[in-house]
Amino acid sequence: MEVNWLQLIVNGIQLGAIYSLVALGLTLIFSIMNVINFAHGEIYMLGGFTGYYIYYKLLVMQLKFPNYLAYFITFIIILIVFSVLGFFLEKSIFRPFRGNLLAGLLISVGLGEIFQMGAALSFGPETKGIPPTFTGTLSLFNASLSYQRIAIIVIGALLIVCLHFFLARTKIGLAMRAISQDREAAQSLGMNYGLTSSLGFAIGCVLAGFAGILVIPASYIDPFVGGGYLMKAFIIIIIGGMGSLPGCILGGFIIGFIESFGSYFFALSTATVVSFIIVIAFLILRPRGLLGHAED
Amino acid sequence: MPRIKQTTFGFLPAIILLILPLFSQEHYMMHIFMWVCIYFMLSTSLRFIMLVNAVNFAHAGFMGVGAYISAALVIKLGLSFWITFILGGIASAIFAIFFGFITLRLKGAYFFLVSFALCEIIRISFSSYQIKIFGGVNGLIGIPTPNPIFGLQFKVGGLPLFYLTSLITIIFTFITYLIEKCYWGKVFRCITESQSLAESVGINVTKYKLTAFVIGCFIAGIAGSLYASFNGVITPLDFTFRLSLFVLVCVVFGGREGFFGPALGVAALVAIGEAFRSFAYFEPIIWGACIIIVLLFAPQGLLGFMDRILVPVIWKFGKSIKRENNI
Repeated sequence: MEVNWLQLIVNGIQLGAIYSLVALGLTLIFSIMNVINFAHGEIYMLGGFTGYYIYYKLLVMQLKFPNYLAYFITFIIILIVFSVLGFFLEKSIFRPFRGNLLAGLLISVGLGEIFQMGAALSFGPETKGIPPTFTGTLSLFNASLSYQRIAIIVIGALLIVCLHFFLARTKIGLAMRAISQDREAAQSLGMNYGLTSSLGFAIGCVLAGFAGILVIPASYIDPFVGGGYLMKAFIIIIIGGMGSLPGCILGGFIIGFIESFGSYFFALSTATVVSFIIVIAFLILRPRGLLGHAED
Repeated sequence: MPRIKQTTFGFLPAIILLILPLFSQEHYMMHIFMWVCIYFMLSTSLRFIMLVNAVNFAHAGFMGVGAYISAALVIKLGLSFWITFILGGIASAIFAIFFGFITLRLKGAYFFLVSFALCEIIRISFSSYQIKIFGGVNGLIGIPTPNPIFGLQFKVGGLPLFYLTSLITIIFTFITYLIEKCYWGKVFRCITESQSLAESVGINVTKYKLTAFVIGCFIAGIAGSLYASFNGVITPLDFTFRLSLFVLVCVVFGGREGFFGPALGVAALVAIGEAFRSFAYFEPIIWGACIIIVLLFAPQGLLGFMDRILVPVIWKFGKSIKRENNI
């Protein structure tokens, strides 16, 4: 059987876009607040369930909206709901633990567990999937690429570009970058650490939620997917470099390609183990990752 | 405040645990008592690792390494339990040396991230590689209980097996207690307070961190081999992140500061879990809520709560009685 390289490459890019989005939110939160959010995978999972219930069950099945419009409305809903969720989570729970790595990590583990079992109890533990939003396939050089996958790549790329412009051009984005570089200096120049970290957490949650709604038409969702995505996000962060946003994107695509090619030629479990071995190799040879800055 | 109070609070659950099986030898209850011993070993060793500011999210994974190695040696090579349960611990410790040497020398969050990933990787590896030895997804079946020794028959659900497990538990937790109370324990505390300060006075931080980590993982491996021998069956799903999480909740809920905090946490959480057995689905939510409430309102955990609130009240009460008697 002939190997269809184009198909594998597109699959890799699509996986990479999703992983990058999840990892970007995690890195943003980590670099601003110095908190590793172990509940991030669960927030991604909640995004997927929002896609299932709001987009599919409510808008498409009940109200008979056209697919594209419903998909667009769901994005707006996620943007609003998840930013509010992130904002208040940071204010109520994470606020006292900024900068305290150990306590922040423990509390987010507890939060993730509540989200996971809460979702399993209210939505049921079984796997849920929905038909694709963008139907049809594009035939190119013997490869049949579904429009859904192409849409994921395009929307993912758009979101990453938006995030780049937000961080590079707006005042609050600049404040986030300044605080992640040197918090005390930034604060002494009048930047609002509290507001910045709330907004950073909100943006991280929104990115994870977007990843969830992007994935669900092409794949499936269940309450326990969060852990796997969180693990991949950690691997990506280490490969790309801790606290580096471009590194996150690069690492995301590397892991996406490993998974796409590895699961074709070997098995998915082998691909996961290989990516872990790559992480170990990075920790031995280049702990700061591909694009990270050296630890001072 | 006298030092003795923490010890009392910790010994109380332990002694109750040792006496209880004499009255009820129902199969289900014995199973729970065995589990409490395993949890106790795991949580004490996890707290031992946390003394150097490293939370090992792969603790269940290391337990799995011990369980699988010892069970495979017993079943495939026919070795005696008395050798394999140590070998299981040693295998886990050797694995911990490799893993810890790579991750613990790095500053920052690397250890947490990689250990979280490692837990999942260990599970995947046991379920998809070397299926002839490790049994794949179905795991290993028919692991025998320990061979008879001194005329004692170790049957599942019997008293000798329980007391054997608790004896091993007590021995190994006592070793960590001794280590914590001697010079090394002070070094560990120093590293927790400030790593850079510890480095500046000439402490080899990586060496001490690695030592604590390897000892903790050795005990986790021992706990794993005990679990394999009394449960008879092990599958990769026994050693998931959820078990690590439960052990972590025990440590945080009981109190990270005192040595007997984990024991208290295990006793409290297992009791809560058994009391609400019919709402077993809610259990992880209770764990999550426990972590959040404890960290937000009582960072010292249950032990610290008793220390700060209960003991002073009792102490004052006792003092006032004494004073009245003196006068």
